[in-house]
Amino acid sequence: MGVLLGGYGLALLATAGLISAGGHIAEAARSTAPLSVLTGRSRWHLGIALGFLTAPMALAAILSAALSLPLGTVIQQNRQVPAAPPDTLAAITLGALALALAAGLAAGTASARTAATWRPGRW
Amino acid sequence: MSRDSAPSLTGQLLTLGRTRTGGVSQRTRQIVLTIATAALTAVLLGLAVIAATFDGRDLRDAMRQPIIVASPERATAWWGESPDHAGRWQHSVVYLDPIDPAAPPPPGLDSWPGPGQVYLSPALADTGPGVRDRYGEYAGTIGPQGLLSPTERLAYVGMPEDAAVPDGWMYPIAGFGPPGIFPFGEKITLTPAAQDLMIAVYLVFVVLPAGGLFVVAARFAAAGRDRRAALLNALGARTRHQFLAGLSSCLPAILAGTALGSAMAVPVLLADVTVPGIDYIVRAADVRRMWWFLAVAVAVAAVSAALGYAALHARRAQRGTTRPRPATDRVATWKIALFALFTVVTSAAALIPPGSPWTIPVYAAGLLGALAFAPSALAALLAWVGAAAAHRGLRTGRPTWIVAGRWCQHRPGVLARLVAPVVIGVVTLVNMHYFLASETLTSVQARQTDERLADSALSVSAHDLTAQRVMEAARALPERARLMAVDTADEGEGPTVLRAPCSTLRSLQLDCPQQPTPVEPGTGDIRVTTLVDWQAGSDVRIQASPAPPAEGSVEQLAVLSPREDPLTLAEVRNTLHPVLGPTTGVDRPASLEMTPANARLSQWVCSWAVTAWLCWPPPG
Repeated sequence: MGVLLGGYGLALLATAGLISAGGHIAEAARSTAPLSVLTGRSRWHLGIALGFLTAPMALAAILSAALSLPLGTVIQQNRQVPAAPPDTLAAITLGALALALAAGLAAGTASARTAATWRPGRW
Repeated sequence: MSRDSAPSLTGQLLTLGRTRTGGVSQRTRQIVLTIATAALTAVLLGLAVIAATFDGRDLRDAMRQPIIVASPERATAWWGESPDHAGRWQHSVVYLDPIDPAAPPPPGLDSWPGPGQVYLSPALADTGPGVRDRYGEYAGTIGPQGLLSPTERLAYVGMPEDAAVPDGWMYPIAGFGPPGIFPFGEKITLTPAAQDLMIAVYLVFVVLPAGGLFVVAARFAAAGRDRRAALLNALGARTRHQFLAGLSSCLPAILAGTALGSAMAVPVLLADVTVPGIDYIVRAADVRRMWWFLAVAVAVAAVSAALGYAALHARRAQRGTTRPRPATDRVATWKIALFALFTVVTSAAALIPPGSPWTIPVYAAGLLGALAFAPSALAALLAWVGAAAAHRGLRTGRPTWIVAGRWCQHRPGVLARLVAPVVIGVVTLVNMHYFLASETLTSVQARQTDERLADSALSVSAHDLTAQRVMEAARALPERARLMAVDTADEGEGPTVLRAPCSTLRSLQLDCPQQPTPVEPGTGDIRVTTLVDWQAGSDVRIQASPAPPAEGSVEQLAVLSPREDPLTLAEVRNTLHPVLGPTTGVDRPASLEMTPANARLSQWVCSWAVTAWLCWPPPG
């Protein structure tokens, strides 16, 4: 039950985090929209989203996995029984990295589309 | 335009609220607010469903409780309860012996079961082959009004006339109803504190994150609205005016979100719904009975959303400034220092000598502390990386690096909120998986032993195992089964004697002594060593003698069958229960114990959820 409810809670937290970051990405898009329109380089938005969303989330996933590493040693020392296989840790980390990449790509694409509709004085 | 035709101030404020304030489009904001409102509504409805479900359970539990009386003369029936297993799960078997057949039977039954008749809950009846005949003649199912939930496993059995039970095993009762507190059925596993625990866990795990989503959504892309609120404030607007403008901007989203969230309750109102992952069935009748809980939840969600979305701007605008609150550029150094300290503590847990009671507490404290400060420390690290990236972007002429780097450098609060769910999610998942997958040495040994034995040795206990009853049990079992008597030591003193005929002892690779003879360690095949290791003490003796006792009764029996063609646990339970009666217990010699990690899981997850909220920075 705790696992189930914890899953719901984490999903809500993740949604909140993405909405919060999405709002700030939208602000960044507003700032860079004139420049990207003038230069015709909409890929800026993708780069900014990858740098501001994907990179922090990916770094957080890797460091969090590293933070969990001592647990395997602790469990093995105290129970003398092999615990979860290391590929579980890798799978969880890869899942978080995939989520980070997806968030960055989605935000970058959305920003580029928004910038394409920019016109002077509107924002 | 005449003065009369000018819109009122309220109308103007409502119109003003609907206009765009810059930044993201109004549609995007409406979508975000709709999602947050729908989540809040659904979460509060979930709380109402939990309350309604527990209320229904408590009501049915109270109505089926035995009213135990001190004097048998006042009793209308005898009532006794015994736990049993079917598959992996424990269930209750309630034995009934009516004195006054005209007295009302327990809820869920139309009439009292006759001697040897059995009524099973649907969940227990469908458990597997043999369960329907285990306790006697199957007469039907228990109605839903007699069950706490559709998944409850319960049996009502008419006490057989020749059943052997100890004195005082059954209670004289005067009927069924409150205020009894006898735990049986699902109450065995769900204690009275379960409701409080469930609601507390739900509040921490689900309602608080939904509240967080609500606040973040309210402040989504808020710079433009903050500027407008500041302007209104400078023009003399009061809280009411700010509230009207704010409410107007989010009213469609509140209505849409509340409707969307309310739709989540429709399935549970129409039919019984299985909660995914835990297979608990929520009864629609319970939810319908407390429908006003749901109405209150929807109303609270809508009013909270209206007040929250509008009031967050109104309150901020009252701070007397005409500029939006500036974002913080730096992360406090003490947060980074504490993160480093707790990380060291977490890692140091691996250096504590094996078996120390301090290892897990030190690890848990270190991990919780590190989790609490990890987002801030990560944000500081990212700010430093961002500054370096921006610097490099300037030198190499890469505008993307400059913009992304500067945003990282000057928005550490945003980064902390962004990485917090990732940090908490990854660490929680990894820790949960480790603790669920790991086992204690004892539980692993028990599981491996049971796997090797494959039910070729099973222990049997029952009241009054006299020679006649043991012989009846032997006759009921298949021909390949052999019985061994286990006379355990009296209160831990004296030897445990295993008695069986010579042929049985030889099949176990044992000698055939006529007098009790000590068993050397490692003697006999795996069935003997398992019985000795898990069921008997250190002083174990064997004796070649028939399993039925010459006089008195046997403490326990072991049912032995060929390892190449063993009996099954369910087969032996279903066979022996009708013979040995209500007090029969059949189990594997090395019973699996619950791992301590599983037992503590809820506390772990609860701690993590609390930590999630400690490290969740205020929105801004």
